[in-house]
Amino acid sequence: MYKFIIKRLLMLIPVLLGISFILYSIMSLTPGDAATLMLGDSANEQAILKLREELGLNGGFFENYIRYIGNIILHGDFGISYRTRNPVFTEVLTRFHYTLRLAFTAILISTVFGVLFGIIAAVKQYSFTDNFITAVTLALTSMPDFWLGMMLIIIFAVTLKLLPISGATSWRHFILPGLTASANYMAYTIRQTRSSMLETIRMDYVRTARAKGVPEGKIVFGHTLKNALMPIVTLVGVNMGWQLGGTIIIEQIFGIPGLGSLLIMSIRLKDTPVIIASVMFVATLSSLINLGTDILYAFIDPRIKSLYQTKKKAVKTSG
Amino acid sequence: MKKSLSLLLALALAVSSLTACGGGSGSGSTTAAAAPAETKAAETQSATLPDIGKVETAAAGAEVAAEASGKGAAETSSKDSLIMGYTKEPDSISPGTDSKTNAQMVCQMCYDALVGKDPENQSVMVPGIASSWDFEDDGTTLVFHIRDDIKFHDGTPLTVEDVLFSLDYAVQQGLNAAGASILKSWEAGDDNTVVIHLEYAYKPILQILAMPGFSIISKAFYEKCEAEGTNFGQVENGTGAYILERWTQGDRIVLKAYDDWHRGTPAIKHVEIVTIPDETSGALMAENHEIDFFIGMNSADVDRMMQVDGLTILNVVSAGTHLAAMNLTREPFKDNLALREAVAYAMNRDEILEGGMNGYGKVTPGPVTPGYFGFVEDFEPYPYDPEKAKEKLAEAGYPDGLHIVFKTPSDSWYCNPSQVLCEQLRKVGFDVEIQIQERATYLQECQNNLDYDMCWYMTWGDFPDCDPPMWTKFHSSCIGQNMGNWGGLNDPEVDALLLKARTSIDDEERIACYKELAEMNKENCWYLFVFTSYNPICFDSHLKGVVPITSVLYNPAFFYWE
Amino acid sequence: MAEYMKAIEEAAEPKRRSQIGAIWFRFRKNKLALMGLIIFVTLGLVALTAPLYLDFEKDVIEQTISQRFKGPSAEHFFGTDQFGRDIFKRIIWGARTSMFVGMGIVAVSMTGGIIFGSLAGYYDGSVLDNVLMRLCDMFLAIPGTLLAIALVSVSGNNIPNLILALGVSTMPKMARLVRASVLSIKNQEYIEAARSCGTSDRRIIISEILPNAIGPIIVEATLSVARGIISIASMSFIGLGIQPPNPEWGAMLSEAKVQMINHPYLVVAPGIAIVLTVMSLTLIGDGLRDALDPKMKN
Repeated sequence: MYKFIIKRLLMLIPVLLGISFILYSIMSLTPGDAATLMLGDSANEQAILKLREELGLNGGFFENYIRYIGNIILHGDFGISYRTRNPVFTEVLTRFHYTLRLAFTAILISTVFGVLFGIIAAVKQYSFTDNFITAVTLALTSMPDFWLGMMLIIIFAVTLKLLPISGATSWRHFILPGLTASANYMAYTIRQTRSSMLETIRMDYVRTARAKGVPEGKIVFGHTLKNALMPIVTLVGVNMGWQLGGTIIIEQIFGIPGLGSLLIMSIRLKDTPVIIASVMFVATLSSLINLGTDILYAFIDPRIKSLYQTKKKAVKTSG
Repeated sequence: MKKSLSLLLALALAVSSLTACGGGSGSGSTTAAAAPAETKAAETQSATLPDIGKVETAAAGAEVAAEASGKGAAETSSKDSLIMGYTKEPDSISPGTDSKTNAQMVCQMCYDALVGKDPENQSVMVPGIASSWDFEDDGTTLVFHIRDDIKFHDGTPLTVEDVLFSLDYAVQQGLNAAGASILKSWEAGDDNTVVIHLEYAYKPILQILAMPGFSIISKAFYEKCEAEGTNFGQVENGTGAYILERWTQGDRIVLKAYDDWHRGTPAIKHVEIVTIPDETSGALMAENHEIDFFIGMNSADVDRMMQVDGLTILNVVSAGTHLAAMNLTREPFKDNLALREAVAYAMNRDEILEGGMNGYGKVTPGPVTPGYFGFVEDFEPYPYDPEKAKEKLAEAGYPDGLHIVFKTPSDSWYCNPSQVLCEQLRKVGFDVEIQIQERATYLQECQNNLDYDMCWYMTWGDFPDCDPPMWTKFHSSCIGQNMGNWGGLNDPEVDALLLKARTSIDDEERIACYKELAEMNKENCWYLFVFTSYNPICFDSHLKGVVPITSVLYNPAFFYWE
Repeated sequence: MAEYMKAIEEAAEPKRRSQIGAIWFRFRKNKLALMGLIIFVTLGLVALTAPLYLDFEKDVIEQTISQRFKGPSAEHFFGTDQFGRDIFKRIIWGARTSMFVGMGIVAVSMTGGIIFGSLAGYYDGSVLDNVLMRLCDMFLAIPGTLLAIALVSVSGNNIPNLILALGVSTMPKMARLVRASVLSIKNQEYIEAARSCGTSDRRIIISEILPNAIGPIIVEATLSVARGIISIASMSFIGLGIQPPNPEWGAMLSEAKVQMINHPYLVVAPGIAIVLTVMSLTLIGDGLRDALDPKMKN
């Protein structure tokens, strides 16, 4: 078990290096440079050269890159943001908690309602309710998230004036963005729950329970649910990974100063250290979450758990 | 069993994180929301927009002393906090570092310069850190008498040392390049004065020294920041009306009044400036009184907002003139006057303003921003005449049309007018390919490499004198290298004219020069100026003392609640 | 030897023909999938034939500033936009752009995905496989939107670059899928038989493995077109997609956003166009998946 974890963690390192190289190359190849953008249209040549020197932008591509990576590996120094001159991780972490709140809201909504509607759809299979839910699910996956966001704003914030339009100051500010960000995975969760439930309901042990006279409610919530929900755990993990990096546009629309907004602003201003650090941060978190999900799944699903145990036994006997 | 537990744990985590984070930052809005709720008294909103381009060149006899405290003390309500909103957060608020107007606005709230401006009239200079000044040696030397009773926010007194240090610092900031090229040297004089020597007599020098980029900073504090590694751009120790209390990146800047401000105690004690990236949301938040003052309204919202009770909308003529530039350094526009004339005749400025900016602006065919020194009223450009444009196109050697590339950045106030213009060009026979680019790419290609056929851009004048924008646009030394001569114009006659206008101290002579320049530009069709946009602001009608400022450098120190 | 190979191929072919027939039969039975197909084909026909009844210059891009922001009417079914252009006609023309670019993206991602995925899958466990999969991990770790934005910023803002950028950012997923498919087929007996005959690896991959792996690939391709249409809309929404004056649904929504409160009708039409197209493609994709799966769970 531990070897598995260590191996996964080690695999993270080349991935992170690769990400930094890819992004650094892309940003170096784009026209325009951070110094010009920071100083604005009217600054003169000398000032720009001086700023480039300060930021470590003079010198060839590989020289700059090695220096950058060297700083990270040897000193843990991810550099300063070209834009604000703040240390990069200050930028990332202050923004991150907004994205985190958005992510949690979205995951909460998508998981709770996803499972709920999935169960309803499965239990009332082929009824009108089921078809309706399926139709809504389909529609949700077919709309771009920014359109859903705009429509929600028009309906709830502008016409009904129930919720605020943008910003991130109170919990109410996260309802509409959370709903928008949850749409995609709520649809997947509904579908997954529904099909898992249907699959488990057909299982022999359920038939046995019914034959024994166990009430239907207990069957659904007792026997079927627990087993059907296992794939949902994976889904939540994948969802989390997506939420961390995929809410760029949603944050723009709802004015949430999260990691996504920071990323877009950094790309526009060619603030390379921030871009690379943010993506590495997100990538590491996603990998850790995936790892955590896999481990959790191994504990939950006795079939997989036994897989690991038999391996151990096999090793023992042969050795 | 374990699954439900883990799910429950996850749920609990989620809920607790939400509630934990949710409490703190939202408290600011309550004070603002309370007051306007009771007042239903509608301010008279004029149905048509007053064209408030207030920056005239009139020399006013404005008293220097009547600042915020004088006006405010008598009639203020007990309300003393203000919530402002803008769309782009500053990256840095130290002088001369961040080109965004929002950054400069916050800078001048926290710092002062040698010279100040009359809050009612931006052309009139008032004492700042300097209590008075004298011009000597035919205007090439300035002697500033520094006040001895000014303290920085941390309590340390301001001395001549700090002024000298600030000048050293200021000329190194890239944004102050224009001003820096005029200042030759400076040193302490006798009796608490600072003597500044200029390269040549330059009339608007006081305007330059009044800019936020030339604010006075504390030498000791700066050195302390350098030593400790603190980011100087995100903290402050100035002498200005407001002290930076807290800056939450991405969210808001919180300021409190500096009671010992040398121009009087501000009536507004607490200022919060919230970053609202979406213009429409900002307008709506002002409508709901979640904020009191919003800078950066989109022209699309103005009409609707005018109908709202309790809100005042001001259309402030901006300091920026929009223009279409043709690349004079290469084919097809180089040396082809007829072709450039074709473009000039194809242009319908009213339509561009209407379609591109919802009509919120003023058509300005001449090179100078309205209200700025050097502005020529009644300047007639080539009229809109598509037939003549087609003729000129044929005369230029392209009777079957010509393919050109039009570059513009992605901001809507550039690319919308661009689209209208491109359509007008298409109608007379040009085959226009529009390329909307990221700002970075656009600046690199158009400004530095002059790699474009036509492009759209805006010039900005920091203060009401047309010399800086005219110089950077027309002078041959300003090509490339991040400067303003995007067309690549290189004409010695123009250079001479600009120098004459810059160094003359006779107003009439200067005006004559600029007029001549405008005529030359019209005849040669170098740059085609289109319009000057409005910067609408909206604010609660009970907020008084708000005067439209072209350069967007509002200071709540001069506001008060009724 | 040669006759032996020929006999095998002949025996295989009729099986494939009736296979397609069977797939189509199962697909037809699925009412939703059929509906999706009908909708998509209709949209496709409308889009393809657009130049016959619409004049690009007059109907789609010509501006009439005096006619700005007219609401829906008999003359303009969906109203006019900020430059006075008819929205209905622009939406129809926009369908051409979306479908063309969507398919372009899939073509790119499928080409790369099939090549890399089949190589990685066939040489499973080798250095090549590991390198390719690690590369996939790297690209997958970068959020898709971000990668596309960064790539478009490098290469410039035009349609070929857009197709390339979005295609490259979706390639890893396709490569993974192809690899998994190839893996599952690789160890079948007929592959072993072919190998023992001495057939070259390349021939095996191209003639034996891929045709049998093609099922899931086609399903994924269909769903990719759907996702591609949404990505294009997203890119155009941020301002990095299709250049004006060419109409594109995402760009139209971006222009509508500013006017959202004054003229909400601007937001509705392009959004519904996207939803309809993507939905029909999703239904087709799901239907294909069910039809291709021999053990259909009903």
